[in-house]
Amino acid sequence: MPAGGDIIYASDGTLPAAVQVADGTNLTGINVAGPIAGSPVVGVVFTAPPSGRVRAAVTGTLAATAGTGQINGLLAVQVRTGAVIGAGTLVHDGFAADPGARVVFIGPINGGVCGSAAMMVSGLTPGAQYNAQTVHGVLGTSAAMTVYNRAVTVDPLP
Amino acid sequence: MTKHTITLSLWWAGAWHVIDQATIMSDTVSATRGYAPDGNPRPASITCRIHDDAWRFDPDNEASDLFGLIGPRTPAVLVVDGTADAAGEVSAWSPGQSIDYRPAAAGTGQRGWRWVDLVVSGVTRRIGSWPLRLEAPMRRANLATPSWAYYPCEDEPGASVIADLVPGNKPASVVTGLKLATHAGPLGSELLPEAQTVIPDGPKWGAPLVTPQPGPTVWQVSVAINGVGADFSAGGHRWWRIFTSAGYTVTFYASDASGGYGVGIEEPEGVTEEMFFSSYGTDNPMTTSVLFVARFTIGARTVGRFRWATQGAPGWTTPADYTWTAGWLIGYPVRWEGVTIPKGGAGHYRFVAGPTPDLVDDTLRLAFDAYGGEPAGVRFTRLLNQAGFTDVGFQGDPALTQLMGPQLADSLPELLRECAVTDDAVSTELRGQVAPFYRTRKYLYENEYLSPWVLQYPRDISPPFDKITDDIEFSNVVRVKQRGGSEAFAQQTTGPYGTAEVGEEQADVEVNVSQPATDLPTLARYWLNRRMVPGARYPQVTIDCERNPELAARAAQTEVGALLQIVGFRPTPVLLRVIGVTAVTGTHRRKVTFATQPFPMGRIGRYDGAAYRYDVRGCTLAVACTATATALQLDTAPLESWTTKPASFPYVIACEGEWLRVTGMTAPSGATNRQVATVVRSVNGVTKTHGVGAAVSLAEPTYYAR
Repeated sequence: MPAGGDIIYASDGTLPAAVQVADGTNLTGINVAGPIAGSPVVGVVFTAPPSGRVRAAVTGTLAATAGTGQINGLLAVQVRTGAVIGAGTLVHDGFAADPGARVVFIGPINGGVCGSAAMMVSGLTPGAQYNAQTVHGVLGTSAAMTVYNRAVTVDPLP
Repeated sequence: MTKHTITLSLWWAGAWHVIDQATIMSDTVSATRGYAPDGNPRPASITCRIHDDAWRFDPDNEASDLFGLIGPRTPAVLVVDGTADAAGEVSAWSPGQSIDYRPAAAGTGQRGWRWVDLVVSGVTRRIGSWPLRLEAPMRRANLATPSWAYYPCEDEPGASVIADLVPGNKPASVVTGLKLATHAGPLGSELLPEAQTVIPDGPKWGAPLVTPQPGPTVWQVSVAINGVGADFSAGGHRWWRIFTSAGYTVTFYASDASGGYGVGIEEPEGVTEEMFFSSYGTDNPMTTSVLFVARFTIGARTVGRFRWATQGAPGWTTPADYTWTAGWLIGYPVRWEGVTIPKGGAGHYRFVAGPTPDLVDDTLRLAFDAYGGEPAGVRFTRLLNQAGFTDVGFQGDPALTQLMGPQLADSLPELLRECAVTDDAVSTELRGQVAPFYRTRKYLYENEYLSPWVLQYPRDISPPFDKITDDIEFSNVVRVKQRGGSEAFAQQTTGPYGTAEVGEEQADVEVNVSQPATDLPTLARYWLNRRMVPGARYPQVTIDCERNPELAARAAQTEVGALLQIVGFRPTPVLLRVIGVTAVTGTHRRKVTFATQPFPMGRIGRYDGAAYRYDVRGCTLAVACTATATALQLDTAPLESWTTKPASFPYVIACEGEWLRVTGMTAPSGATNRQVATVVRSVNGVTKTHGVGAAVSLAEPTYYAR
């Protein structure tokens, strides 16, 4: 949001285009608590709009392939400062923050979830570059999961 | 030459009395109002000399008919040509006489002169010297309506008793284990007593109450409790106990363990008759202050009413009125005891006989909340009204001023200053009345800034009109600090005045806003914009009313906060905000001097206004140009471009100080949004070549209002 005394620019009311990256690679045998980005990394670089607010969304599928009892799986989006994906200071950690932008699976082996989750991330510096990427992790006794169809989307907000 | 009519009016014996021009002896009279040239608050002032052979205007002259009628604080108003220049209270009367003065005597005439010099100071001089902290809002509100007894418990640490502010009762005793002025109370309140350990049964702190006659059938009580840090491990969660004339006791409970409030009644034998209980839910007194109110009706199976208000939350919590089902309450209060829970704080114990005033009252609740969320203009007026100033000048809607945080304990001048700074309003004095004057920020935007007074240099401006390029009033790092709370920073790192180029110049602004989390970052950027004004200062603008009689009327009417636009002094117009006014007037001369500060952001935008345009961010010259080239290639940032609509031409852009009138513009193309502008060069008289990368912007950009 512009502050009092800021010059009025034509683009103040114009938002940059939304950015999205998706990847269908099956990441099998994921058995670490994470957060890890996996390979290939699914991430985008974006410029913060004048409002300093974006909606960061993660989409993907988690399928429990090993483990006993309750298996927990997370697929989340992390937003960081700078134009290098995965680097910079965290400004939103969907993996750890409550609430956070993450798809969650809680269930037994052979269960799964396909979903999407989004959060508004505010307080970004207008005009500065940021990056967002998906991260994932698994918890549970001898647990492993397959993660696939990952996507990250960043929508600038007014 | 114009002859000026000068009258000084003084108030005595219930009426204004005019000291006319013939009596005013000084060559000139001087009046100032508004802020000092350095931007600091300054009371209005008037200085003049009265011709007074009899020293009638010497307050110390017993022979004067005005003896006992005039003196310090005598109200005064200076009026020139029918318009008041300044008003205030006389702060100094200095009688004097010429060396050769000799009164007339038999056979000889008078020689020499006698006079009295007057210094009149605006009312803010007096207010500004008040050092005492204002009464806590809670205390003031509780004392505004009748009580049976009221113990604020804000007593100093060394006090041996706790005062009752309603005449007739005894002060409360202070016992071992009770530490005064230790625990946070309601916002704006002084510190409250705190039990350091469990205060054992026996003589507790409290007081007997003198019974109203006849004893009431309805009585109300209220208490402010604050359980932050309270230790319930030793058992007990009693905040207040009241003993009735019939030997009953009423006890107020609140604890983290039970998660609620309770009011219990015990018979004289000590048997608990009944307990009202209600979960406090989110109104947890262990995390904040809570104002608890109860009303009792004496008699069998009667109804009790219980309400509470939580600090910072709107409204009263309204559990249903409670009907005593097993027992009942008999008697009226004759003694009370205070909190005994270690590390628990409570105060503002109040008793009311009868159903009125109803203690479940929004006036009380707002005071308990220390008026959090109150608009700055409303607070400014309220504080002055409460201090006895019924006349307060105001321009703008008080409700449409910055919403403020709680009114914390401080002196009146500090709280008034806080209102003005938080709202960024102009706080001065009325010119024709001895009264403070507040002009809201919104009013200035909608009136002064939209229609600046355009002055042509040198035709309209008299010397001295100097400019100084210095670092006064300049900062590239601003901290906006919330009163008693958080803070936000704004910093300009890039550009010729950024910290990377010239290092840090820091400034602090103390405010008190109602929503610090959202307001402070925006305010920090606003104040950074205020402080990041590049270029020169123009400390003063002088209007000589003899040289320019056509300007005299507007000069006389110009208020602090007005916007001046100076054209003709330099290629680019200068926008200055008036922060102070000094008028020096003689019978045939008058000069009005405005103390000013640069204020380019006064050119605020107005949506759909024909005179206002959007600027283009990040525009640079793509190809170097000669001083006469009329086709300029411009690159712009993504999402940005100059308008190409024929109806929009011409418009004026600026490049390195040169103004160029655009008469045509091609559509953006390529990766750099390249546009070609057809321009008329040097429209402001500046002629120069420009290199690749030179910044291009609107010649007169418009700014967001705050």
